[in-house]
Amino acid sequence: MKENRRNSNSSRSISIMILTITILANILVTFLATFYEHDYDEHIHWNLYVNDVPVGSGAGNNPYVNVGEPLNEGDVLRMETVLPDLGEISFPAFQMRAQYCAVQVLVDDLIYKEYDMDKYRKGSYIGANNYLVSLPEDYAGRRIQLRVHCQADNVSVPLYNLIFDSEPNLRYIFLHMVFLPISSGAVLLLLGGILLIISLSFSINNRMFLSHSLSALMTTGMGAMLHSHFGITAIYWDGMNVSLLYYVSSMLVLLVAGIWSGRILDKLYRFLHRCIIWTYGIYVLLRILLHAAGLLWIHEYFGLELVAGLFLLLPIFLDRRKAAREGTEWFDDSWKLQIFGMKASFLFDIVAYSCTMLGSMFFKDFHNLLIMVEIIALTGGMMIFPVCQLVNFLRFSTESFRRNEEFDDLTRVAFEDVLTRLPNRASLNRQVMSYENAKMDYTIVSIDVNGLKHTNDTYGHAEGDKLLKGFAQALKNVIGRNGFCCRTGGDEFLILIPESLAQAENDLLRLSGMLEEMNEREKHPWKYEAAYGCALRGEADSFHEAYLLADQRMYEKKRKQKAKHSAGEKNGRSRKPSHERG
Amino acid sequence: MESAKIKAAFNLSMQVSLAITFGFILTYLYLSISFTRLPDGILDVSGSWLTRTEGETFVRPNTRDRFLRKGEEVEIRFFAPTLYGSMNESLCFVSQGTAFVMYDWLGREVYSYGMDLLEEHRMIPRKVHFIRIPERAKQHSLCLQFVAAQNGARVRFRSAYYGDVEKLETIYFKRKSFALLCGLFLMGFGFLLIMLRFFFKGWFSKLYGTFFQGMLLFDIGLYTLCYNDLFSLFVRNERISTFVEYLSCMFLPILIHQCIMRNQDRRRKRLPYFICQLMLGMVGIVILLHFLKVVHINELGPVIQAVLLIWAFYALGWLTLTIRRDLERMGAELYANISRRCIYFGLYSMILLSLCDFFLSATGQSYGIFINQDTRGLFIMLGGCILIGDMLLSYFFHTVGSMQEEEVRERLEGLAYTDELTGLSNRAHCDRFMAENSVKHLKCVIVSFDLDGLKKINDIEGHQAGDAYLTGFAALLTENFGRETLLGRMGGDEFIMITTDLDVLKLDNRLYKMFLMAKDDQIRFSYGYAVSDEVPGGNLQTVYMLADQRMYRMKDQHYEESGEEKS
Repeated sequence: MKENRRNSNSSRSISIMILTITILANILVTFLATFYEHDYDEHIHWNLYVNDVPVGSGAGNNPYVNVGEPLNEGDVLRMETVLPDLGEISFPAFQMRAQYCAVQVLVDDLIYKEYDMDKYRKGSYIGANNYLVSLPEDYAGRRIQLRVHCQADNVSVPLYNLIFDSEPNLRYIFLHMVFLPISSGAVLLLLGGILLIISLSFSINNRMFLSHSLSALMTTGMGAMLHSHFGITAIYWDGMNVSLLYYVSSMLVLLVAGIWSGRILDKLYRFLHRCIIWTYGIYVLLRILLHAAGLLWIHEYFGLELVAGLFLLLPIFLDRRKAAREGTEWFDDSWKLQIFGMKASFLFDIVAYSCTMLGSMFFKDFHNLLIMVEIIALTGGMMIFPVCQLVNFLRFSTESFRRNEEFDDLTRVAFEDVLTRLPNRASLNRQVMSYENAKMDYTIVSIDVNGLKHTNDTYGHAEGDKLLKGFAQALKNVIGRNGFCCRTGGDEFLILIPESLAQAENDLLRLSGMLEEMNEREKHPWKYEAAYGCALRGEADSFHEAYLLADQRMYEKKRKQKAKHSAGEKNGRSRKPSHERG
Repeated sequence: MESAKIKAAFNLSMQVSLAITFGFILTYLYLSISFTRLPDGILDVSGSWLTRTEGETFVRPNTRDRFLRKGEEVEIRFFAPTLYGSMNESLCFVSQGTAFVMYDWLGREVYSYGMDLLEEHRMIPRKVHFIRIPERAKQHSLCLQFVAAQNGARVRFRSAYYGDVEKLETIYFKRKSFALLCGLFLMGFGFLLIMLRFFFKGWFSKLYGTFFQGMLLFDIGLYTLCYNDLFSLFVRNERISTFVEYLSCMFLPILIHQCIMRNQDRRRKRLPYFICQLMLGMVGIVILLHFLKVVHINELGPVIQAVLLIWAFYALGWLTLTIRRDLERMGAELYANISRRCIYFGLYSMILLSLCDFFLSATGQSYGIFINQDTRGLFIMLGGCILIGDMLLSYFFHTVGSMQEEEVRERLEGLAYTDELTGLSNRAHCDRFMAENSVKHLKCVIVSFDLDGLKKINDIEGHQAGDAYLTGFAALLTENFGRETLLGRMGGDEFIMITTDLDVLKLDNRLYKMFLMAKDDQIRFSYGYAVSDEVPGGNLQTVYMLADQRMYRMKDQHYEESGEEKS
């Protein structure tokens, strides 16, 4: 239980860390991105008329904001100014962002450029767009007029971000301003795509399949949302209505988030939640149909989504997880982390949304600041969920690396001989099993190191260990990948070679050659010497009997050697196959 | 079985990589086809130049880029038309390592770039030029005189456009949109990994190479952005952009090297470590030379390329060996092995794809006729995406692996904690539950049950009947108190129930009801209960003992009633 508490604590601290990382990274990137210079930094004064009635004048990049009432459908806002001389600029231009309105640009009362006027005349949806208007070469001193035709009701900021500068500079300023959304949007879009591919290629009956796919979908959707909100999709998706994409994708993301969060519920609640999801799905469909029919623009009453979101994501805030079972703290933790990501994402988006609302309604002076906050909050909110997912994966990997390492150590102890680093008897059994299962013939070689006891007695155990180690090394070098060698007892080794007897003899010849070479090279008082006997597995009925056979042959050979040397090594031991003595 | 699993993992990473490649190509084709057609008012002037190298006559240029020698001069003639409905005709093209001056038909200078840099012997970077054609120069031919500042400099005749500047910039953006998205994605993902690694220092210490993988991805992103002239949009300084391009290109092998090295045994690291040091030294020398103005970094291009090429083949061999060696020592560390395999696979394809790119750029080829020719470094980007895919795949394997382990553990624990005969919790579980909740000071009521006459039934009717008697009681218990916190069998005929409902009166009623029900089924039992508050300290074992005592009191009563002997 104590451990449980510690885990939940660590999960909380991780959540806080993720929060700080995301916010810090966002602020860092925004801060870095705001380092740009205007070639020209002077406010231009505009005279403003609504439906040809003068309403005052404004300056800066949002001239209308402090002046008039919200505009309604059919209203025409006219802005006039005389362009000042900006000096030597190669490509004079200005940039603006228009919401729910079509814009005509007139130079000296002649129509110079039109934006979305055809849509306005046809009555199809316009949405919000960024425009870059390049000016004629001899712009200085000319009168310029913007006619803004409003398409929707209650638009208080129809035109903003109005900046005069050279054209490359304007691109540069724009890119810097949206650097955060553009980069995190790219990350979200492509990461979501890759995650989707991966979760799809995992088997369907995997327990986490659905939730992984859902979160991948959500990630992609959030990327699309982010890009469309700041009007960047135009770069790669031509001819798409950016605002429409934004509203539709945010509704769909909300829907997917709802389905995702419903997965943590109990049966009864799940039913209720499912009802809510279906209702919302039908609502989304209805909104899209209404928009297509031109009855209700999709951006109107968009505040309702917040209410819907509250209902859809209620399970996360109630946090009624499936009855916590014993021993699943780790999974509990991972759920907690993901739920935290969802929560934070949603809350951040609420902040961002209210920034926009407040910015356009009440705090008009801080419009630019609020846009900045909105960018940070929106991007941060979008990034938190995938980051939580990523951290979750990383935690699993760390945990499994740790377990593997522990396991590795344990198996090393269990299956390896400590002194010689050769496999031990337990792994011999496994190896034999695998050979037997494959029904293949192989040669069994039983080897006995001569004179170990003598070395131990005369030169000490350290020298005896050296002898064993050297011998094991020689074995490894000679047999290596051809077969399997292990140490079965004090001075007994065993080799399995999955080939014929001749090949085995060949290997053994090489082994004795190597031992002789070692004897010559290393000046020890003792000598590497071994006796061996071979038997084919096919010669006997079982491995066990074949082993006995090999052992007998080895023993005969040893006796012969001893007779040859007749060097007084004692030979009173009764030999039995070592695995019987076991 | 394990090797089969590894093979499956390998196949899966292959599949995922293929799927990513497929998606990548599809997206790219979609983007390039939809932007291949030039909008009205833009002229592709790639073929309408006349060029002349020193002392020769004007000829039409080859479509393939020609590399220039240092100091070589090239003159280009070009007719600048007036376009209908356009006010800002301008010319857009790329120069690499060349300085140039543009004259109008009367020999007046219109635009010049890099001549001052050439005199000061500073680096002349690659730059995208947007040149406004003044009114006086239109309808006549323009003359551009290029001077190559380095070997291998070139004027990119291929992507030269003439038209309204607004549209030119738009088309410029759109044609590079894929590179922009991909580069930013790689950079952003790398940035995330680096940040995470940085913050969770102690935590991911076992996760080999997350940091370097992050760095590698960031580096690839940076390189592709620079290589596609997009980085200069953000810093607006082509000199920095070119410098960063070469720098990130040189860091590419080092980071890949580190990624491979992180996943290896310490014993095998000596040679790779040495090579890594060597390459770092090379980078240091190149930077030093650049800042001392001995050799500019972009003049070292061929040297860097040669080193990269040699290294790439070395790395491919090394990776192959490592993968083969890994195949032999599989076993216990299954998931680590699988994930390592995934990452190796990603790196492998990454290196191969970069080699493709390398050959393409070295021979001055582009990707093909149908594909939009303005995106460069496509294969490297693809490699980066595949690497990300394989990394995520390896994380997935870990997640799935731990989940399976957890499931097995749960099942085993379930076996260990249930009583086989009755399906209730067994004694071990009950004891553990009581021990854990004693620490928590759980307020609860413990009821102890004991069956009467089990021994008699066992003796007379046999053990099977006894078992049936026990299961019958267990079923009855579950029926009546199945929703309570814990039901368990403590031993032969002893049962336990723990409930957090402290309403003792209600409990007493329910127990009595159950007692009557049991009587109908010919089951007789005794019970006793105790509340945890009755015992100071709230040790549940003590509470259980108390309940047991009360149960025995009832049992004695029962025996008195029936007049039987105690069993």
